[in-house]
Amino acid sequence: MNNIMVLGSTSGAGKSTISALLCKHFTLQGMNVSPFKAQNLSSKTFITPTGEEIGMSQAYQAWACKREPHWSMNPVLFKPGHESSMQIILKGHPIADATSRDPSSREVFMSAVKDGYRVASERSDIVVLEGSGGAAEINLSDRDIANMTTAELADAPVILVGDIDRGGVFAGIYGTFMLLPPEKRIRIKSFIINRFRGDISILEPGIERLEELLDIPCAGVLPYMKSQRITEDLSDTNQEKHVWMKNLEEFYHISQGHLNYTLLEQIVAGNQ
Amino acid sequence: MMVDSEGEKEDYWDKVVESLSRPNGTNVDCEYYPCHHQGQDCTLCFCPFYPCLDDRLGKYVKSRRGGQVWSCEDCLWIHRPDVGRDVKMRLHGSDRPTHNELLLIKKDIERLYRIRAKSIMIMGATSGAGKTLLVAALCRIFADKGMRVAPFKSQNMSTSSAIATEGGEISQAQAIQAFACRLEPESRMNPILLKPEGDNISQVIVLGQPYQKMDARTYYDDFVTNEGYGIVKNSFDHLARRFDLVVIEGAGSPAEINLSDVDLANMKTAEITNAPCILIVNIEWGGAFAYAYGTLMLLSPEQRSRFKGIVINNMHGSATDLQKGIDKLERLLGIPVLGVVPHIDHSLPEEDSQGAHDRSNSRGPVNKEIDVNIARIASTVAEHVDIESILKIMEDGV
Ligand code: SF4
Repeated sequence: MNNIMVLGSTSGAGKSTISALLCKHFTLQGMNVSPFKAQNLSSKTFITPTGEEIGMSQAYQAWACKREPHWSMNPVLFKPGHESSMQIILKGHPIADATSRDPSSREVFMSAVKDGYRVASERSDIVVLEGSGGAAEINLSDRDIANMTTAELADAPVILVGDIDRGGVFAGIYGTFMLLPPEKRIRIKSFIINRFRGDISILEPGIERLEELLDIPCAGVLPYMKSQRITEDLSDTNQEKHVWMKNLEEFYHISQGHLNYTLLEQIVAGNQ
Repeated sequence: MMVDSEGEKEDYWDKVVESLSRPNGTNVDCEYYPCHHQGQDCTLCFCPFYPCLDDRLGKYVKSRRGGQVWSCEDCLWIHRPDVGRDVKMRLHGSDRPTHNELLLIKKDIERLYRIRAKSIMIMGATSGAGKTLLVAALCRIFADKGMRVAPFKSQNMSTSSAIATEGGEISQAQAIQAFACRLEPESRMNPILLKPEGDNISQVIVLGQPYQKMDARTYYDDFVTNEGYGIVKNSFDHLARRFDLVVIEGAGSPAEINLSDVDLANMKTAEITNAPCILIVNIEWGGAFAYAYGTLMLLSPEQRSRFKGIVINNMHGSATDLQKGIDKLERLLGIPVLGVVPHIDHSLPEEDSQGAHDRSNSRGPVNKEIDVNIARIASTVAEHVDIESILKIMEDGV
């Protein structure tokens, strides 16, 4: 099984978009691709044609794969409701309001993740997996199933994404890498710096230093894109899909000059 | 003030007595004002301790007649309003004390009003970590403890500026922090202000005045390595000679390893000011532990040793979930987490270095609303951060 997982050093680092770029790239290569996010926390959801509810970003990624969104692409979904209640949707269907702190729930969620991944991988040549939040939350390490646990489940090589827009990107990537136990660290094959603006030649010495420190190559520096975050709240899903697909098209085109897709292909093929 | 050695004689003391009979405060009508700096206190225009021979305050220079004379040119301590008030009170109504008696009074006063400020520096793991607010909060907390406190940020990139008392332009954030200290903003509190003008070009403002337009490369390669260092050093020095405490703010992250040689605003400023440092990290976006760990570990061991604690900021919800992570981080880095500050709703202007919003110049922000906000932020910080430990960190130094 070929697959690749995108983890972030924070939430909002750009995992969803970069996963979508990978979905599009491998689809264009003639492969049957599926997105996968084990666990999503979002109030923006999508109802699949067969009536299952998943996170909106997996629906987008499915479209980037030229496929219909499917429950297996996001088997665990937390949907914030009114008054700090949380709706839990497993394999596309809501279960009773419950709290994710219940220790037995980890097993329940994990089995949904396993089922989801099995179905997603059976239906595809390659699964592009997306992590959730920061990948090295050391306060949660035994509870976090959405990041390294999923990478292990899928035996996926990992790309780490950091957002440079807020500064501290080298520290974020370095810290995330180093706070993972060594046996998990070895899954990380490359890093990507996202949302860069300015003079790239000023950044380069830092990238070289980080490559040396972590002993993995940088797969690219993506420029800051206004369209990267969908902010318009379009009520019509079709219109929203249309706008987003257009943005992805444009961003994929731009990314050609910034992302080392050859390296990413090698990583998927297990040659890195 | 520079007086010949005759200053010790009777007629010098007459001048001291005469100057002490004038009202306290700033004497803007004096033809020499400001002989040291804007807003100086002129109560001790003729210093009763002269010549103190304390080389932390003054120095010997060559006199016109070839001898040596004690120069008070650099002494700003004597022009602190609190020093002026206190010295005047102690001398009130007494006969001329002997020089030794005067030096004992000086010693006593020194214990209350530091000759050189202590300093503490707040660095962020990212921009938007909460440095500006933490500095403002500490300024207010320590000012309320009776210290004379000043804020300092060597270099700020911002589109929003305020007008300093001397008329120049400084960043709005330092103006607000000055307000938190109950001071008028002055350009030395933010001696270098970069106002982005797009296309990688910034207008560089030095000590409140437009200096030059530069691109990022020229700024780092020429300005920082040449005049930048001296500008920061002199400005800080001036503040350190007048205050008990200078609370310093870093810029962005100190661990931008592509810039470590030219990053004036963070570790260079910490060196210049010899300040112990505290790292603040915003937990709202996740990855706070990784950013804190990564920031410190990407610094050199000497740089890292300046860091004495970590503050986690912008916590939504309960902090009890964090304890396991905090314990692990403390173990890994060997320094304590000094507090977890909850998300604070406030209406202070947000700083923005990327120029997305353009705010026109605003006059030094002195109003009730800002005061109410600062008081609330300060009390939240005092409630959640170990201020006693920060006092100790300042006391112990680096
Ligand atoms: S205290 Fe200051 S002004 Fe007075 S003699 Fe000493 S150096 Fe001069």
